[in-house]
Amino acid sequence: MNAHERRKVMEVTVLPTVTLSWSPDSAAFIANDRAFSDVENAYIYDVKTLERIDLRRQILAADGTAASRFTSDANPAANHSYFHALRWLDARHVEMQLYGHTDGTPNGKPFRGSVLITRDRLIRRNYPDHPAHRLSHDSAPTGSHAGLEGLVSLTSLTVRSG
Amino acid sequence: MLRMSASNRRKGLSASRDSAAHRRYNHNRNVRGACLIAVIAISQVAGQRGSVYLKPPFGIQNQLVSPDGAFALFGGDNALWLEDERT
Repeated sequence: MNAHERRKVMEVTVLPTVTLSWSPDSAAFIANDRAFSDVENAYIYDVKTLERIDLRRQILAADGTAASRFTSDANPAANHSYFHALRWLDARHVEMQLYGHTDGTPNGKPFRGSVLITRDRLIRRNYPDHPAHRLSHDSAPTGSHAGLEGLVSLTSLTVRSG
Repeated sequence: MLRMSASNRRKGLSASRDSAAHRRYNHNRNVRGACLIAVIAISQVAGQRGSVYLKPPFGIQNQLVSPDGAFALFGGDNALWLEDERT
């Protein structure tokens, strides 16, 4: 008999669509939930309290003008929107992918970006197709869109909890 | 005294070459194996930083354990569960 204490983290519609990743310090974990075929949300759960941070909300709250293109709430063309926490860079920093596509065949017009985020701060973002990004990126010292070195620094954008 | 014919000498040379090639093959295979083991070991030490899917069959038998071994995540009954391995 297993007597370990168990707590329910969240209801899951389709278990095989959930991806998980532990933080290196075991204090938190990421749960990516693709509840439907056209949407994926990413959460960071605190192990002690099981309080969660909705990373989609955090990004839109901190960087809504630019990031709204990835969500159908603000961009009706973004019918398929995926906010996916890719990996922990260390115990605080999470690399995320923002991607999706419009309706159409076979997959409509794709859009893609990436974000470096902590639990309370959006550090950097890279939206290669966004005009604001290109303006900022032109003045950035690095020129690659691939990888974190190409991300635009956003250290002034603090994410408000709640 | 046995004398080796030219044909046999050629065969011997060929066998020697085959043996050398075989040794090189084994050596390369061992190096690849060692590299693979090293990569696995390093990835285990570094922890599970990339995200992974819950795999069927779901349940405690297929859990994702935290790097410090204190907690485990697993799926079951249409929910994601966290188990405290210390209790």
